[in-house]
Amino acid sequence: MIAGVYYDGRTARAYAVRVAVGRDGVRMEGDGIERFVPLEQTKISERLGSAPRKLSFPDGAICELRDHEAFEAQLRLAGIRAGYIDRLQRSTRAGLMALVVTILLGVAGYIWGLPGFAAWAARAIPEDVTALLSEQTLALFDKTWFEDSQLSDARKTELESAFARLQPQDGALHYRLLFRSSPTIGPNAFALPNGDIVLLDELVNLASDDEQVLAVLGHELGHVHHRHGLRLLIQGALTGTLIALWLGDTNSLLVALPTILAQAHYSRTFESEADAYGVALLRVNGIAPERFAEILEKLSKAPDSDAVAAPAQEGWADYLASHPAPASRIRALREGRIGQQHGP
Amino acid sequence: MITGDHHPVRNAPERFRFTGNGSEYFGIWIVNLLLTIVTLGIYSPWAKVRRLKYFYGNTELAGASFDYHGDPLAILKGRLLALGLFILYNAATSVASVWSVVGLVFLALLLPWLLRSSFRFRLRYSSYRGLHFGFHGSNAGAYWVFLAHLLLMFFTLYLTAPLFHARLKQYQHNNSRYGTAPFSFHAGAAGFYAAYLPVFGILIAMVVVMFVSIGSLQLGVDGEKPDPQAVVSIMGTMFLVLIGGMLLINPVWQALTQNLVWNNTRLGEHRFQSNLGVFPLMWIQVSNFVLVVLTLGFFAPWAAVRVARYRAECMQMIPAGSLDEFVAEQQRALEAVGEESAEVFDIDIGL
Repeated sequence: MIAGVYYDGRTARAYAVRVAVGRDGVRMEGDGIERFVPLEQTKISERLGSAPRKLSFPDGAICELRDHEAFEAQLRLAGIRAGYIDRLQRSTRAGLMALVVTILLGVAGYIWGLPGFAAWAARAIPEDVTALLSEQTLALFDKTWFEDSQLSDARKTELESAFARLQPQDGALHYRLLFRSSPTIGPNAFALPNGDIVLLDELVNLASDDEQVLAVLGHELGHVHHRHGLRLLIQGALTGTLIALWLGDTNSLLVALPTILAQAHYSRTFESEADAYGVALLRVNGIAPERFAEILEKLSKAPDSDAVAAPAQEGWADYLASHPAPASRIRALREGRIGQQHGP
Repeated sequence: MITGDHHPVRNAPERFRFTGNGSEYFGIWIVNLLLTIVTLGIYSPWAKVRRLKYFYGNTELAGASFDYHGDPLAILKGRLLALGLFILYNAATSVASVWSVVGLVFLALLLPWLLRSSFRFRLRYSSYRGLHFGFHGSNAGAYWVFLAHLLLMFFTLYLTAPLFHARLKQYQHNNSRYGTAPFSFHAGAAGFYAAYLPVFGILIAMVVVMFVSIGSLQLGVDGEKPDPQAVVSIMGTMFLVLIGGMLLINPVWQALTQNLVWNNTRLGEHRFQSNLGVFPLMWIQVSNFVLVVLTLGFFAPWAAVRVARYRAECMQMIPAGSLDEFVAEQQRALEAVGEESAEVFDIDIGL
């Protein structure tokens, strides 16, 4: 017999009882209570740490037990085994294994799972949705950051025909070159998911020749080809949600930081992919990858450049950067380490 | 006055106690986490029920512990429905059109009903000493609080946040029961405004510091390039003040409002007392934050236990008589008709 507290389910009165669990049922007596309930009508609560165990009966009565060891001994004698998850929760070994497996799953999800899912989802999104998304983005930028291009029509035609000669083979996507200017953003080019590429005057002016401009456009085509915009959008949303779920009821700042880090890492991967695509495209067209290295170098020295080549950063700030450090990209280009294996 | 002569020290305060500890909760947490991951979230209602059972079961008052009885299947159904709604809502609002307005209005109309259902669910399936809690707030009351006062709050730029909070707690605590005994709430909007005063004060101080530092930088720009050293020190001070304010604001808000709420809540004639301290709360939050970051999230179970323990330690009940006298409410008949809707939606809200 072990000590328990019985509540009859009708009032909050506590009855101090002695409890015996046997093969046939639960017997409680003391404090004016004398009751026997068959096992099949008794619900035995799981062991959850040191919280009291509870026996619940069909009429709403319960019995709280705090002597865990004695109760376990009675259960063993009565041949009542704990449920599967109950046993896992108690076992130190299961806990450690769960910890290791959870960490491994988390790492695998970060490296393969999320990007894989985002790539699949990006391809599954219908063209008219990407088109709408791109139009809205462009409209927003036109309203906020972009101004009309100052390039002459002749210059535009020249660049357009050079761009057309790059001839990326990419199924249904048709590429379109759009001209804008933006003193606030500085020398840059943007790829939209629908194949539109926005070229800023500032970049054209910075480049010493058109092959350098084409090198940047090749990089942007890489973003379109691999659907980086959409994938980054999906990965970002998913990482944010998952990290929020993971860290749960803690702190919004706590959720933001790892999301930013993960997003920056994914973004750098995409930049390298786009570099590879762009360089391969240049080679096919007989343009030396050195042109891309040159323009990257110029961009990294330009005061206000951001997207194609983030300004020079060092050390730990790399982890926050959306682009790989320009110096290492330029080195890789010059050593011919980029764009060998990917065909456009 | 209740005459409970078998209780010699009738009015001695009864402290709430939390008996759990981090390592034992970690074992439960990690197993349930892994199961949730490998089932892609389908297991999460079961994990939630175990979590709540752990925290309820380890919360003790006057020698008895609380219990949670939510049915995981009902929670799963509710979550799937909520997920469906969420996706619908996002689809409706992602493209700017008339549908985003329809989506917003629909959600605004649905929200009060959902919140009322979740209050009902949570209380209906919480128990202490074998008696269940209950919630009897009306739909009209829910719309009055969550539509009228919430809208008012948005239109007054959160100046009526204390009023909203007061109405919310009045709605919750005046409509809750333990067995047949009603809870009652005795604080008005004035009390909440007083509790929010320091919160607003910190916010205003943060805004002022931000404007002053940005303003002083602007002054520099007008002339020549500002002295980089000055910029760094101004920005540095600004960020320190802002971070300090952010760290302080939540504990201040939590401690002041929690204390106000529980010091003005009664269960029948029994009273409660809460004395959460701003600085202990801040210490727990900051150290939890740092440790959760350093352990990539795996400190979370200890963090949750620390918060639960401190909150329980700061609460006590001042009984007006014997706690044995509560009587169960006849909820059985109501159950089949009324609770079905409540089970469908199970929303976690930290109100």
